Amino acid sequence: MLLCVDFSGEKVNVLLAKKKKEKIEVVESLELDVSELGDYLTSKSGKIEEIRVSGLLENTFHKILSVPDMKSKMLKEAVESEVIKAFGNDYQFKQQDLGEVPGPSKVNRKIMTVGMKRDNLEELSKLFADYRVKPSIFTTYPVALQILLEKMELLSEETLAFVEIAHPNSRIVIFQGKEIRVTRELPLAERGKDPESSALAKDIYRTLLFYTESFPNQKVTRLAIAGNSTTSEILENLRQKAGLEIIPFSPESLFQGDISEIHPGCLGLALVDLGHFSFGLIPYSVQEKRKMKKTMTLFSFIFLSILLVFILAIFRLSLNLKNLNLRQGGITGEIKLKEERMKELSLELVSHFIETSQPPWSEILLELAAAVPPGVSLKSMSMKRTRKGWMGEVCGIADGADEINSLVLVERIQNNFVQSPLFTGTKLVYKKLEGKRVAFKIIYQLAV
Amino acid sequence: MGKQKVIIFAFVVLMVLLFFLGAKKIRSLQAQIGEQKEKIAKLDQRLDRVRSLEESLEERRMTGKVLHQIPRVQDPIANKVLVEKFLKSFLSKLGFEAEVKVDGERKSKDFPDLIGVNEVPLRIGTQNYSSYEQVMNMLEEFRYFPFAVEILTIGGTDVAVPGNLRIQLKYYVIPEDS
Repeated sequence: MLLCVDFSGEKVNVLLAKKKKEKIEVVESLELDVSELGDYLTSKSGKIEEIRVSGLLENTFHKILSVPDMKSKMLKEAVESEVIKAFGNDYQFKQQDLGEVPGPSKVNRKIMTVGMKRDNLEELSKLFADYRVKPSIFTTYPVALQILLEKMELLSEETLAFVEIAHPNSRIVIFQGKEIRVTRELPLAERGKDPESSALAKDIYRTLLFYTESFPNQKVTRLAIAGNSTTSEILENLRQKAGLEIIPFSPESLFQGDISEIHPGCLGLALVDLGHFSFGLIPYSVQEKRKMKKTMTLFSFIFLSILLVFILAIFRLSLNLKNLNLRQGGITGEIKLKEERMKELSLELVSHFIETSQPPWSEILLELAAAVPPGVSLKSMSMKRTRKGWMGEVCGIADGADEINSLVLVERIQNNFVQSPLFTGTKLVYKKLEGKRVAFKIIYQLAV
Repeated sequence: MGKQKVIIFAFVVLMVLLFFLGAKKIRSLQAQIGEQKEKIAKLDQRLDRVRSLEESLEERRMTGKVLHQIPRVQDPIANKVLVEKFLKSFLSKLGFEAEVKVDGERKSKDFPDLIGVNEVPLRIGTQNYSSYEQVMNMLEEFRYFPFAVEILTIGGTDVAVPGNLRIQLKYYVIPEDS
C-alpha cells in the first residue's frame, strides 16, 4: 500500500491508499499529531510498500527564474548560482525547465525551482529512518498540490488560488499555469474567538492583494477552497471581499473509497508519477548512502567480473593441463606396452643393436691399410667403442730417405686419414724425430 | 566521502591482491603446461623410436634374420666353459690359435632394464694371423652370433690378454626366464 504523509504545522495528514490500474483506492485518510506518526507507522509497517512525504511549507521556496538560454550544464550552474544568491547555501533544491520566454535581448528560459532547507529535509528523513522506513520521495506541499490540480484540470493560464483551511494552520498557494507563484501559511483562529473567520478571510485577501502587486498584469480570477475547517461563513466572507469566482473542489472523481477527510497534499502525493517527477528531493544523507551503494555495486561488479575472468582462465588452463596429463599417461602406457612387446623380441633387439653399433670392419681395415703409404710402418692400431662412438689410434714410424722425407711421410699418412670418408676428427698427437726416422701417433674417430 | 574513499581503497587493494594471486596462479599453470608439453614432445619422440624399433624387430623376426646362440645350461660355470670351448673351436675353424678369457655373466647396460639382456665379457688374444683378410673374415663371422666387438687392437695393449691381435667382445645372452 501507498502511504502519503503531508506535514502541516503540528499536524500531519496521512493517506493510506492502494494503487490500482486506473484509479487510486483510498483505504484511510486521517489527521494525526506529529507525535502519533511513529505509532501509526509501526502499526502499518507490514502493509506499507511505499511512502511519499511532503514537508512543512516553512523553510521551502518555490521560485521562477528567467535565465538566458545556454547549454544545459551551464544553465544548471547558472540556476544554482541564482538560487544560492537568493536563498543562501542551506537549501536543497530541484529545477524544471518550463520552456522559452522572450527576453529583453534574446530568448530566455523559464526555470521553476523548488527547494527545502537541508536541515529540515534531514530531520524528516531521520524521523522515518527511526522507524526503519525509507520514503521514496520528499517534496513540498505546493508541488503535490499542483499535481492534484493538474489531474483535476483546474490549472490553466488563468491564475488560481488554492486555499486549504485547516486547524491550526491554513495554507494558500497561487498557481499560474505550471508556475507556483505564491505560497503562504495562514493561522486560523479558534472558532470561539473568530466565529465568522473574518481574520482568515482578511489574510487570504491580503495575500491576493500581494499577488496583484507582485504581478500587476495578472489577477487571481479563481479560488478553490478545501479543508476540514471550511465553513459557509468563510466562503461568504471571501466572496464578498475578494469578489472571486469560487470554484468547487471535488477530487472524488480521481479516487475510490472513503475520502471523507480530504487532504489535498496527500492526494497530490498519491498521484505523483515517479518516472516523470522533477521535484523529488533527496536528503544529503540518503544521497550519500545511495552513492555509497552505487560505488559498492560498481566495484563489486568490477571485482566479480575480474574474479570471473581469472576463474575462467584458471579453469581453462587447468583443463588443458589435465588433458596434457591424460595424453602423457596415454603415451607412457603405449610406450610401456611396446617395451613389454619388445621383451618377446629380445634376440631380435640384440641383433639390431649389434648391426647398428658395429662398424663395417672389412671396409675400415682396408681403408686403414690404404692410408699407410710406403715407407711407413704401423707399430700398433686399435679401435675402441666409447659413449661418443668408435675412437681409434695408430702408432707408427715413418722411415724416409732423410728427416724431411720422414716428416713428409707422416704428413701424408695424416692427410690420408683426413681425406678418408671413414675417419673423422683426425689429429696427429705425437711426432718425434728418431735419427732420420719419425715416430708418430694419430688419433681418429670412425665416421659410422 | 571519507567512507567512500575507504571503500574504494579497500576494493582497489582487493583487486590488486586478486590480480597478484590470479596472475601468479595463471603463470604457474602456464609453466606446468609448458613443462608438460616438453615432456609429451620427448615422450612422442621416444614412442616414435620405440614404434620404428618394434617394426624393425618384427620385420627381422619375419625374415628370420636372427642370431645363433651358444647352447646354455643351468650351471653358470658350465656356461662359461661352453662359451670358451665354443669360441676356441670357432676361432680354430677360422685358422686362429687364440687364447680366450671368459668373465662372469652380468646384466647388460646396453639394453633397457625391461628387456633383461645379460652380457659375458670375452677377451681373445692371438699371436699371429696370416693376413688382414683372415682378420676381416673373423670379424664378419662374429656378426652371425650375438658378439659385439668393444676393442680391437693390433700390436696394442688395451686388452688384457697376451697376443698381437687382441679383441675385447661382449657376448649377449637372453636369460630363459626373461
